[in-house]
Amino acid sequence: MKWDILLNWMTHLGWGSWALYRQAVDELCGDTEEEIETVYRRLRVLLSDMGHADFFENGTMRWRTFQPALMRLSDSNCYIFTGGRTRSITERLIAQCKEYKLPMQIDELPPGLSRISIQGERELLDAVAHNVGITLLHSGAVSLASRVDTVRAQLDSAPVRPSPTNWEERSWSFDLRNWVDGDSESTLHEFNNRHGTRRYLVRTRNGDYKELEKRFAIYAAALLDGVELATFDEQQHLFKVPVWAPLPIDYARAACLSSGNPAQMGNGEITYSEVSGQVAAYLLFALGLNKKTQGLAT
Amino acid sequence: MLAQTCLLSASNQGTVLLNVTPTILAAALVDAGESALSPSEAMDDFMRAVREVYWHRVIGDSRKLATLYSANNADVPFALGFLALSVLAAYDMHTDEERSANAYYPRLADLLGCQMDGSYPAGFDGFTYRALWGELAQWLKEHYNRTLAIPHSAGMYAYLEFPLAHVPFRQIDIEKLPLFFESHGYEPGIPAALDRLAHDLLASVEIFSRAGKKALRDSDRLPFVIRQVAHELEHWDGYREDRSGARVASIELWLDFRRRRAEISMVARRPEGFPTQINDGEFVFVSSQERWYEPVLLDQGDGYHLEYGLRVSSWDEGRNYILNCRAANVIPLTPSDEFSGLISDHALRENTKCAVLCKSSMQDTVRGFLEQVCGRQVIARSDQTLPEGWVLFADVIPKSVIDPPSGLERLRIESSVTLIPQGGLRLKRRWTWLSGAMGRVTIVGTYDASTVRIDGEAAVVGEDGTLPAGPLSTTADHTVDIGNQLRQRISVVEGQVSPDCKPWHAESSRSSNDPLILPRGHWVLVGSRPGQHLYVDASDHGALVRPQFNAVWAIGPSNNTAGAVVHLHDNFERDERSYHPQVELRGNPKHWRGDKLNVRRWAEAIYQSSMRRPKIACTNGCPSEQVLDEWKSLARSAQGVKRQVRKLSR
Repeated sequence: MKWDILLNWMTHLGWGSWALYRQAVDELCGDTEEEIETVYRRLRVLLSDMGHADFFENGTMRWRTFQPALMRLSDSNCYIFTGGRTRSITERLIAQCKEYKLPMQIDELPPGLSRISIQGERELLDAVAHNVGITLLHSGAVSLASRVDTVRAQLDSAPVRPSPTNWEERSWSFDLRNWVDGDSESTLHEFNNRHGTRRYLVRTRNGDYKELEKRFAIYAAALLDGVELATFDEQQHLFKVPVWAPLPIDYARAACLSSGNPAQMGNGEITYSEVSGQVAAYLLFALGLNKKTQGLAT
Repeated sequence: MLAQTCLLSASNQGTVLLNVTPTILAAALVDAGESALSPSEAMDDFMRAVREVYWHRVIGDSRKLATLYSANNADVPFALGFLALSVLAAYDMHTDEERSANAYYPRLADLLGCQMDGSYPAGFDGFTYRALWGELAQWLKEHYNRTLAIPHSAGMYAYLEFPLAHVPFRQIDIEKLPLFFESHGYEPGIPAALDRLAHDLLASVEIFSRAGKKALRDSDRLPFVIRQVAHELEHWDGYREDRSGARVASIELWLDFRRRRAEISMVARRPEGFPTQINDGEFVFVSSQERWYEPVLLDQGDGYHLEYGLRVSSWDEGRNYILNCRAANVIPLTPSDEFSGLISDHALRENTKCAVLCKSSMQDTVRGFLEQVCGRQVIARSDQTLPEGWVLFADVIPKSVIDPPSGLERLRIESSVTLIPQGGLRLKRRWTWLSGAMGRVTIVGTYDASTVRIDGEAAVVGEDGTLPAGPLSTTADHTVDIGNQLRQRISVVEGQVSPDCKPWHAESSRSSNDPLILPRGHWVLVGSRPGQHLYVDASDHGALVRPQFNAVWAIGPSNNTAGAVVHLHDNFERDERSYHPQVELRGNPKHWRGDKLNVRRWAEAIYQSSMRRPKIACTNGCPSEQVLDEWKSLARSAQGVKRQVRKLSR
């Protein structure tokens, strides 16, 4: 299982650079027919969303592996094995589940990366986690979702920057749902230099440019422009965002770990399925979509 | 570890020095799979270890230094650490330049952490000291057929000559080397041909100290000076300070092939203390690891920077930091032990797959020379991914050592033997791989294939110098020997959880402490115990609140003057245990004392709200009768508490 080996390697290192990650993926990919940049991105999103590693931590080009943990999925007695993993920890976990006669399911998401989920009562899972030496996260995605930085807080704390000179500039149009060349009246601006560095600046109401990470930047611009990008279907528990506005990393992780399923792309949308109402409420609140927030509105 | 790095790796025709410096100690730790320490940390660590042995075995025993003799002559001599520390004392003698040579012994005593006993450190005796050197020499000869450099003469400083013989260059001269490397165009971390180093050192003899000059002019010591300088160069990260006090590090070129297209990036070294980002407006170098900044891809417009050089500088905390890419017309690229693909070098390597990037205007001259050394046709490519005005010769495998013509000096062919690790999943240490993901190890340079052994067994080396994968794939520490020219430890280990893994947020043991989302307005959250309340003034954007108690009701604004109260639920815990506890009137109200104000506020908030007959809602859609009953029960309790508080106040 080549991506299990990758995760094993990332767990042993704890952290590393983006270049190191790419080298490792190159090494394991061999001669793939898939565009290699797509493999990097797809795998990175999956490892991040499923709680295995955090990429671009604090705006750096660094990744950091999470500690191994069993995380409870929302509204169920199912726990998913997330965070880092090594061969020996995985073997110990499987042995413990057999010993406690806990139903365990192992499938692959994507091919080559095992997804391990276990059914059981909290007390038994507590014992398993203790014996294996990993963390048990009983509140799971609820805890993650309630701790995400709100878009408003990110915008308020973002540094004011001058717009870069001699960089190519594009502006985001919510009407066209696309980038347009040059400096339009738009709120969100992307600056590119020749060497592939991109910066995202959001123009605030008083004309300042504030620099944010790309995913936060588009939601900050939407907040300022009064555009609502995320929707939650309470009946079907589907959380949706446009494909051009993926959720900020911590948000996406909370949405995915609510159900243990990765996001699906289709029809121009990214869909997170089986998201609990409480997780959705926290995420919508953090995105600044108060009107859609379940809860205390009277 | 020390024996491996100093005595059993490279040799000068079988002769070796116990040449120890803080840089070498740090490198030895890394090679041995220990943690990466800075040279000064490695020095302190080593000094502490030797001190401990010296105190316990030498000072505390009547036999003194003789206790360091080895019990078994098959093992690495036990005195090796002590001898190495005695060499370090000599290495550090530069501050004693104006003093007599006897100042060596107080310095050794300092390192050993002991007092002087007459002219020598406590426990030291010259006769045994000399014998310990003899024991080391004999062990090297018997087991590895290597000769330890022993001073020829034995004058009045007979004992002192042993450590001095192993310190060709002292610290004062080592510190001048970055300037020497820079002025002669050496590349950081890249081994240099010894004859070139010798030539350049002799041409620059004036920059070194008196002791350094003496060492360079001594034909017996010169080979060792050169080896020491070569070692320093291999561990030099390119850092230097220029005359203005700016800190300067080097930019290398990294060539990688993706989908058969050549991609060239600049990779800048990041010496200790350099900022995480260097941004001059046009170029941005960001670092997310030790030692290197992230690669910056070159495009067609960057030919100018390669030809005329590039300096990217920015200020950080009052200091100027510069990343420097040297101007060049022709750039050899060779395999690197840190990157896949090829890295810019100062020479080509014999029998090794290299590449050459050169200006288009020079391609005919370069092609002519490369065809001569490779013994076959070479083709220049000019992908769209290459900088404009430059061409690339890939698959250059020099088969013969021929001096390059004038102008192509950087295309010298180097033939010294070395190992290049490539591929697989390597761990932080250069020679350690993850079990199940072993890479390839290739021998480059000139060597006798029949002398290659893995774990003591003869190994069949591939035509391209690749070591066989089988013996190296098992989870263990392996040793590769190439005659007495080179010895390298290679480890394959099982993965473990790094302490650097990111911890998850600690979870509250009570899920009821999940935060609450409050819309705009003034709210009071109340718990089931008198005193448990929290006023919240939520802005237009609402508020996310984490009360330190189980909030069971939220009393808040509404569209009408009656206000609203909301029955709170924790959606996560839906079992019957969670909601709603009765009001807990804990303890005797007389003892409320300090809490009285909070208790009164709690009761007032509930009472005043209930008097207005508020609209009642539930976050989880509980039946309205049940919710109403609960609210009324709470209101009655609050009324009772309010009375008690009033009584106590009288």
